[in-house]
Amino acid sequence: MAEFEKLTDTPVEFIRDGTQFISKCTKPSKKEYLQLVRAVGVGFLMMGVVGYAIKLIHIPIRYLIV
Amino acid sequence: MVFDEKIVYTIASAAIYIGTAIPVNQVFARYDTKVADPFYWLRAPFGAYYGTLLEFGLLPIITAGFLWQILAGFKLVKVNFTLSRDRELFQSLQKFTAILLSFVYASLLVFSGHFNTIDAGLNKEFPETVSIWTNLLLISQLAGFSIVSTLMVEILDKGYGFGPGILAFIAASSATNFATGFLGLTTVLNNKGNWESNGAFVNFVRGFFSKNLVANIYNAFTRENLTNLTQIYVALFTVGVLTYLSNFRSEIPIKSLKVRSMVSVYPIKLFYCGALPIIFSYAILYNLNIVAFSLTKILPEVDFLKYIAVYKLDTLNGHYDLDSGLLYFLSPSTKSSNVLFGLIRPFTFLGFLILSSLLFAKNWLKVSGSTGKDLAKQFKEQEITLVGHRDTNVAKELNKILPVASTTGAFALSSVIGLVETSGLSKGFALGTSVGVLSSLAVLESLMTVWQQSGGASSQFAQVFNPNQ
Repeated sequence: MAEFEKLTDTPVEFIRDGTQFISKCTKPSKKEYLQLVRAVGVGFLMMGVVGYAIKLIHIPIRYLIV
Repeated sequence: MVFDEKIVYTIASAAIYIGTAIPVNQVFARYDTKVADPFYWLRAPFGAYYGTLLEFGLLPIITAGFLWQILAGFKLVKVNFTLSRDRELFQSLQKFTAILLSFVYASLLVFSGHFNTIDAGLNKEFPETVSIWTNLLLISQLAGFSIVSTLMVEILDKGYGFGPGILAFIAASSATNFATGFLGLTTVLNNKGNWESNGAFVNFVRGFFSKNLVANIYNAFTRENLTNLTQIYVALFTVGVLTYLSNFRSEIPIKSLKVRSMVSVYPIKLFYCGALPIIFSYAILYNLNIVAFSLTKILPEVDFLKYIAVYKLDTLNGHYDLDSGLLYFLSPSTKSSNVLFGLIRPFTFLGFLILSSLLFAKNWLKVSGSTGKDLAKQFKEQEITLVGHRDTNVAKELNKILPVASTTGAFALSSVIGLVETSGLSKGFALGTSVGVLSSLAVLESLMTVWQQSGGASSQFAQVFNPNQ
């Protein structure tokens, strides 16, 4: 029985510590979250569109090397 | 380095990285070549593109980095990081391993017929005889280019740009993938003989202007050869959840030793390791799949290999799916011919992702030198201390918080991504987008740190980052 307790000890401890940590965490407020999502969304999409524009030069290159 | 110059270096390197995703010579000999990709669900977090110079993307560099840092962290190789000579040798070893890995993988894949075309009608591989010179040319291109990409990562890592280099490149390539999959205007000839738009949204809108309205709109949500709208929604949902979680932080009160009354907080984020745990899990899977796929193709007569992996060709969508074998249980493939296997797979896949990321997060602090002791040393240099603790107790107190933060974060990250991926709806798209977003947040953080230190006074870009405007 002692061995079994040892085996279950680690996950139980992990879950206890984890939930304790999360409950102590500062969570983003709704306003903060919306601001963050907007910033991430706009930034990521802008970065992607620029990347896509760069990738467009693959079309002429493909014709050249084929 | 000046702040502006660093920005220019970062953007230019990322642009070059994306620009080098050009087809390898000899692969797309005809424009309408039919090819099949066995690694389509693994590519996204490594910036890898099928049949291009970035066939492996950042995988060799990431694998070599993880491998040697973990070996050194567990003292299996003895490195004295205080000596600059040892550090240099250690870094050269990582670079050399990365180049060697891509040479080995390129050889394996070339001789397994990975780059051969498939015949859509006959449902089998095209009986193509490829000369040895073509194969050697392919290997030299892939291995040679890995030197270039390794050096480009080095440019950002060594302080010419905002690093870590791999994260900057992952961010750029996943953002590009997302934009292409969402809004891509270019069209591709599919295996059914129709032209389809790259972008899911563009394809959806185009569906309204065609004769079979219903079929086209259904296709926009379910197509598998290119990104579909379901994948986009799943990716947006995942990114939404992860952005929320990435803002969780435990704020521990600190005070300055010099100025008496100055008290502020030091945030310890829930995602203390960022996206690294999930990148680690997928790096293991990608490496295993490359080896297993090449071995099953090179040695088809070896019976034992069918217990490792069986790949089934899906000609219509142009990829291989895992059908059975050990690796099937570690994959999000929903296409097994065995119903029982299909019922077990989600649990084994999820279990593998969570366990491997947890193990990684548990040990990474020690390996990468960011334990409580190291952070306490930083605090001491900046002359700050925790409120309500004696100076000698700081390291012990931090050691209580940091491992919990990193393991809990890894658990949350891998279970969210694992649940989304195991459903088979996203096929690596949600994974790529969320790893990309988390990586760009990490790069942004290092950018903000430098900006705050330099004061941003002389920067032309300053207005963009000014939070007060």
